[in-house]
Amino acid sequence: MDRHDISWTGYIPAITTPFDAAGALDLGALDAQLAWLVEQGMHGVILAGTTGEWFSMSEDERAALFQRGAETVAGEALVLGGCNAFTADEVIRHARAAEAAGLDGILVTPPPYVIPNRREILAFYSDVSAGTSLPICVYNWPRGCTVDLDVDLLEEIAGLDQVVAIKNSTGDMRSFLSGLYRLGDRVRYFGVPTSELGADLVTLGHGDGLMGSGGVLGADHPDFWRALAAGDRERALRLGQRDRVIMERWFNPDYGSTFGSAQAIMKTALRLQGVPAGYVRRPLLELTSDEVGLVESTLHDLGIETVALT
Amino acid sequence: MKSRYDVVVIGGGLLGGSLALGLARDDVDVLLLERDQINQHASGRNAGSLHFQLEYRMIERGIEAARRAAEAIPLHLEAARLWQELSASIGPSLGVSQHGGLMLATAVEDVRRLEAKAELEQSWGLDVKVLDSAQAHDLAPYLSDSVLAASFCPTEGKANARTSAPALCRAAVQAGATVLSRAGVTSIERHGSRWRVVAEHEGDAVVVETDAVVLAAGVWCSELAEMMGSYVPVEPVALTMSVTARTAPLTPYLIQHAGARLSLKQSVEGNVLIGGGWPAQVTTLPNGSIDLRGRGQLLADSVAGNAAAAMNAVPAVADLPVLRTWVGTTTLAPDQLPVVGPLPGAPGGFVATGGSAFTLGPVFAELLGELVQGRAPRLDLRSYAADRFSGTAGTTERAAQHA
Repeated sequence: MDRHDISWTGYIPAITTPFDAAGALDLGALDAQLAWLVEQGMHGVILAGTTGEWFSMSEDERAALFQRGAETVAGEALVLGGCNAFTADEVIRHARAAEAAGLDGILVTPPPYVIPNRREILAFYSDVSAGTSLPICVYNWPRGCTVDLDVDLLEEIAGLDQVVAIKNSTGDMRSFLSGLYRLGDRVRYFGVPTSELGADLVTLGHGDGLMGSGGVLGADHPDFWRALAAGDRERALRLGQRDRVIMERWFNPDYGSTFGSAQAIMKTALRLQGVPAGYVRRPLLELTSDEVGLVESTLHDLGIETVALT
Repeated sequence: MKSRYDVVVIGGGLLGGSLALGLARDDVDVLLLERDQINQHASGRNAGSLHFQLEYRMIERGIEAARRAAEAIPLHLEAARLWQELSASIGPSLGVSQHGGLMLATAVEDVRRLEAKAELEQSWGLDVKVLDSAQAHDLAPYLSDSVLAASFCPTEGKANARTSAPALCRAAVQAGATVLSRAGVTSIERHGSRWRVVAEHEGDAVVVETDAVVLAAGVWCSELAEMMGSYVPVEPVALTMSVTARTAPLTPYLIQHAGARLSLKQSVEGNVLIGGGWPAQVTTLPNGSIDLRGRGQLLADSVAGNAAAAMNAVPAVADLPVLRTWVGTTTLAPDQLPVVGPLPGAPGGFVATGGSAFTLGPVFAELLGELVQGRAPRLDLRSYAADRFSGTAGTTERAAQHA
């Protein structure tokens, strides 16, 4: 498989997973959240990614999330499943659940915490590739995994059967561009910034989209790609600038959050817009009221009316 | 967090939010408890219609049934005024637009039904006029050629079901109410002349004493009423809705049909919402009881029937891809009329639910606000009293247990 076997393009955010008051997976809220995302025109969603708090979910919960997500989105957008785990065997079990649910593909980081070496990383992806029939998006996320997949290593990984895409969340534009230019004709490349540079790249046919920001700005994000496709660069940049605002205020250059946790920020931003995104699950904590105020003021500055409680 | 409030409202939907707001504005010390997130259930899952004309379900069974249903028109007139007032005081986050609503007739018998309906509604003071085919098409050229007549009610419209209840809850907090989400009520017991309400919030028990408890919890009102030794027989009803992809502005009106189940409107983003009361299947638990948290199962005939009704009314809808079809649950009493008023056998207990609860939510809130404060409500509530069901054996038994 390679980039030509899939049609992934545009804005495919890793979305938050709603947990209810008691901390249980809240599938009813998931329905409502997905409904809003689909109506806002998302090109796809990623379930149980880092933003989706995979690390605090059981295997059964992840499978239930995949199942319900696929049913609710019902083919109106791509649905990818985050399958991160410490071992390839476990990743493959999550991938089987994703296959059973009918998802379009999976997203996989190197095993977090482990700090595997290059040979181990390649073996890990090789095992995963052999264990699933779904297309794989390789997720380079140095902040969460402590390892950075350099372009030579990515090239080897991109040669594996099921690998079709790379998501770059290094925050390092040089690494992004070198990977894009070396591998972009073989795999789809995500992590395109919604800036002038990003617009230029997309216009020239380089780079396939973005998977960040949790979809919290609704139609703004996917419409950046639609506007570029329609040749309306000016509108695209206007929309793209809105994403830059949240990236600058809520996130550091390495994509760590500037306050609270990214998941709590995203859920707060959605709840403030009336989307029942639920609460974070421990070890993460809800934002403090001051931090809620920071999220709210950003939304207000972007002209988004807020409704949720302080 | 205090241990005593004048009023405890249970349920963080549209009704609970507007009631807490109204009470806080009247300087009543009010606590709203929501077991989940704000707006998680019926208030957030309906299509947001503000309909003041009699619905199809009220006129399909003949003029006598329509006459009975028309007794609720004073509630609707008040609702039309209150939505406007709330929108002016709270702002665009309610998503209210009242550009008017059309109810279509495409068969001769529908025209007759529409005319009788309009006459009845006018007699209750609702501003409705019947347009002939040419007038209807002048107003809405995208209507099907088959439309023979349409009644137009200028105050009908829509609100944003996603944002209305949260906006009202926030306004309530700003007005001085305390709103506690993630607080599931576990018991409500009489304690001297007051009620003691216990809720679980983040693993801790929250215990408050209050003079009055208002149940604004939709389908959970039955369970909560039982905790208070009373009885409110309401059940969930599952309905079908669909939404299309975003498209250019098509219609500013709420569109209904006098001879078919249909509601059709366009959201601010451009999606067309299609509903109108087509049934879906409620989900049941293994023991056969209804799963109040379940999302229901779609019925193929309903999805197809609803789509056909929409395309027959507005043919351009046929070209729009449907993004999603879902089941929204609402709460109905056995006679389909609202339940609003004191809880039988539970002094200081009140309830409102059922009927066209989204459209009427602000009215229910206003009436309950008056009752809770010991004032006579501005509208006659006798037809909607919860004790109209008190002839049932269940109530007698329960009343006896708690006498």
